[in-house]
Amino acid sequence: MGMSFKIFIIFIISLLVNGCGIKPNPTQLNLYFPGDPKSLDPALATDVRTGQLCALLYDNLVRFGRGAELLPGLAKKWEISPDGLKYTFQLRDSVLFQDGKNFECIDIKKSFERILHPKTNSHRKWLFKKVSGSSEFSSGSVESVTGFRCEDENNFLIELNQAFTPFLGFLAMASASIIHETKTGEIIGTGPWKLKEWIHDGHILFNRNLNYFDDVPKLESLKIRILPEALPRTAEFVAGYLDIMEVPESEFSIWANDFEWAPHIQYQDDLNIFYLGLNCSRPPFDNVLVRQAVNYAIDVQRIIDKVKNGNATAASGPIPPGLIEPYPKIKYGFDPQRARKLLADSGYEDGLEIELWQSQSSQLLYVTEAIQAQLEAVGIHVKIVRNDWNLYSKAVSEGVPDMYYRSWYADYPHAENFLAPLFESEVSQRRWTRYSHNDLDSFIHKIQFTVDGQKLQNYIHQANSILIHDVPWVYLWHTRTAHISQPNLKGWSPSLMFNAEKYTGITKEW
Amino acid sequence: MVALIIRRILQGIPVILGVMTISFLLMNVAPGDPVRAMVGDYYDDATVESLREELGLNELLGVQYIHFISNVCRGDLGKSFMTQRLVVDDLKQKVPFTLQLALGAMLIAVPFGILLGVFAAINRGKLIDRILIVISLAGVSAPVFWIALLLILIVGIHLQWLPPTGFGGIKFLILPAIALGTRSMAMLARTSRAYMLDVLKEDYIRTALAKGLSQRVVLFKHGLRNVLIPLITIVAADFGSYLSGAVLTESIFGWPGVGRFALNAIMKRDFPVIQGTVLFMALIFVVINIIVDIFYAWADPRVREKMIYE
Repeated sequence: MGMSFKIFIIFIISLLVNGCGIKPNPTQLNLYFPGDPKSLDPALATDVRTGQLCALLYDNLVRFGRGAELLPGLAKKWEISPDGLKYTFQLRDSVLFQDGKNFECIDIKKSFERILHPKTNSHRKWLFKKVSGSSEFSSGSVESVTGFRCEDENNFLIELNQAFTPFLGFLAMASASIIHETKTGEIIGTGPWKLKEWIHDGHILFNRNLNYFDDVPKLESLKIRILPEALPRTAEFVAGYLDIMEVPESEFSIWANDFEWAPHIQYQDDLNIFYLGLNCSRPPFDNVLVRQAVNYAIDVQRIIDKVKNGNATAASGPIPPGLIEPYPKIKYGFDPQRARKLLADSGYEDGLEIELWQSQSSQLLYVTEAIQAQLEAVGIHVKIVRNDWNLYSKAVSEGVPDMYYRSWYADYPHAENFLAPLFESEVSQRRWTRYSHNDLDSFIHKIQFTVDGQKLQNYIHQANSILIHDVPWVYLWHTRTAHISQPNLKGWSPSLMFNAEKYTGITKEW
Repeated sequence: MVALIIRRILQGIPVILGVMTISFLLMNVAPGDPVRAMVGDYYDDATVESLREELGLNELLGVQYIHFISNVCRGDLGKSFMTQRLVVDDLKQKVPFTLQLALGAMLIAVPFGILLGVFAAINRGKLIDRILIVISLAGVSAPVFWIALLLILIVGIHLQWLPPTGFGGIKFLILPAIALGTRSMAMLARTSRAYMLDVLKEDYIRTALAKGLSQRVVLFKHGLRNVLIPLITIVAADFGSYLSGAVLTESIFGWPGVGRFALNAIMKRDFPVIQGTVLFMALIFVVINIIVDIFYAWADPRVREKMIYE
C-alpha cells in the first residue's frame, strides 16, 4: 500500500511538472467561438458562426472588406446594367479548389442552384428569389435556372426579374459561397484554410491552403476553440492560449484601465440596432402617443454609460450610422415630464401595466431592469418575463409580449436590411410589432429598386422619418465591440461584417 | 448468476421504453419550435412550411411516436434537425470524452474519498478528524462551477501548471476531473467515515484485534471490505450521473461531452438529439444498476441468495 501510494504521488507530481511551461503554438492562430457552428454547408449558414467558417473554407464572387465595401472575390470585376437587372462577373483565372480541381464558371451556377434545389432544403433560398427562373427551379418544374448563365469560360451572368439594389451584398453572404460537391457529397471550397479536424463542441482545426489564389495565410494553422463561458475564455487569453478575445462587458473596465492591455484593445462599431419592440396591434401601444411617451421616458444615454460602459451609440432610428447619411439627430431625448403628459393625453394618467419580454440571458437583465425602473418613474409598471430564446422568439412572432427587448444585426450592409425584414407591413404584421404603414412600404420598395445613390439616400431618410414619428420601437443603441489581441499578434483589426475576416495577413512575433 | 443478469437486462427494457416515451411526450408538449431555431431571423414562410413537412412535424403525435420507436429499434436515432448530422455519429464522438471525464473524476473521488473517511474514522474526535469533517462538508456544499473557476484561476492562470481549459491529453483532464470529482470525494469521505465507525464497533473487529492482528490488517482487510459494499451505491450513482453528462464542468472547461450536447439540443428543440441523448443516459443507468446488482451478488452471499429466490 505504502509503495503504491508513493508511486501514485510521483505520477501526479510528474504530471504537474510536465504541465509546467506549456507554450502556445507560435505558428497557430488561436480563436474561439462561444458555441459549436451548425454546419460547414453554406446552404445551412443561418448562424454567425457557420458564416464565419464559410469565409475560411470558401470564397464568393464578391466579399466584404473591413467596412461596408464590397471587394473582388472569385470575380475580378463586375458590371451592373443601367436598369439593375443584369450582373456580369469576370472570373479569375487559375483558381484551384482545395482538392486540386480547377474553378470553372459552371461551379458558380451549380453552387447557386444547389441553394435553390428542393432536395438541399436550404434555409437561404430567398437570396436568389429575384433571379429569373428561380421559383420555377425551386418548385421542380424546370431543370436549370435561366437567370444563372455562363456567357463563356470567364464571364458569369445573373439576370434578375426586377431590380434589387442590395443584391450584390447577397452574393457576399455565406450561403452564396462557391463550392463543388464531390461524388461522396463532400463540399469543397477554394478558401484560404483547409479543414483538418472538427471535434464538435471541442475545437475546429484548419491548415493553411498553400494553393490559395489570393494572400496565402502567413500562419500555418488556425484553431477555433468552442468556449461557451466568459471566465474560462479570459483565463485562456491571459495564459496565452487565445490570440483574440471579445472583451466581456462585465470585465471591460478592468481591461480598459490596465495600462499593459489597454493599447491592445481595438473597437468596432457594429452594424446593428438594439431596440424595444412595441406591440402596435392592441392597447396601450396601438396609440402612437403612448409609444412616443415610452421613448421619452427612457434615458438611453444613461444606460449606455452605466451598463454598456459607454460602448454604444444612442440610436435615433433603426438604421445604423454608415447606412444612412447623414445620421439623423435624436428626436426623443430623455424627458420624463413630457412622457407623463403624453400618457395623460392618451388616458393613462393613472399609469399602466405592461409585460417586457427578454430571452434568458442574465446579462440582458441589467438592461431590462434599468428600463423597468425608468418606466416605473413615469407610472408604467413593467413586469419582466424571461424565457429561453426559442420560446421567447415564438412568443414575439405570435404577438404575445406588449414590449420585447431584441437586437438585429446586418446580414448585408444596406439600409434595406434594417427596413424590409422588420417593418414591411406584411412581415411586421406576421412576426414583429404588428405595425403597418402604406407609405413606408412604398419607400421600402423604392429603396430596393433605386440604383441612383442620391435618390436612394433620399428614400432611406423618408422611410426613417416615418419610423421616427410612429416609433413602433424604442430605438436604444448601436453597439461598439471591444476586441483585445495578444501583444505579439500583428496584422489584425476587426471587420464590420462577421464573415469578412479570412485571417490571412496575421503574423506572430516572438 | 447468468439467469440473474438476463433477468436484470429484461427488467431494464420497460425502464428504457418508459424513459423514451416520457421524454418524447415532454419534448412535444413543451412550448418552442425547432424550425424557428433552424432558419434564423430572416426566413420566408414557404421555407418554414417545407421544413416542417420534411421533418415530419406536421404529422400526428402518435404517428411521430411510432416512427421514433420503430427507428430506435432499428438502431437509427435519426439526424439532428440543426446540423443534419447523424445523432449516432455525434454520440460516438462525444461518449469517449464523457467517459474520460467520468473516469477521471472517479479516479480522484473514490481512493481519496475512502482513504480520508477511514483516516478520519480511526482518528475519531481528534483535531485531524474535525478538520477533515469541515473540509468534507465544504466539498459537499461547494458548487461545481465555483470549484472549477477557482482551479482555473489558481492552477491555470496564477501557477500556470496546467492548461486552464481544453482537452486532448491527461494534462487537460486533471482540472475538470478534480472539479467534477470533489463533491463525490467529500461525500464518500463522510459516508465511509460513518460506516467505518459502525464497523469498528462490530464483534468481528474486536475478535480480529484480540487475535493479535495488526491494526492495519484489521482496518483494510476486515473493516474496509465491509464498508465498501454500501459505498458502491454512491459510487455507481455518481458515475452514472457523470456519464450522462456534467453540463457545468463541460461548459466551463470546454469539454466536448454528452452533457453540453444534450443541453444545446434542449435549447434549440432539436428533438432527435434530445431523444438520442436521453436514450443513452437511460441505458447508462440501467447498465450501471445491473453491474451494481452483480457486484452485490458477488460480494455478499446473502444478497445473492435473495436475488436468486426473488
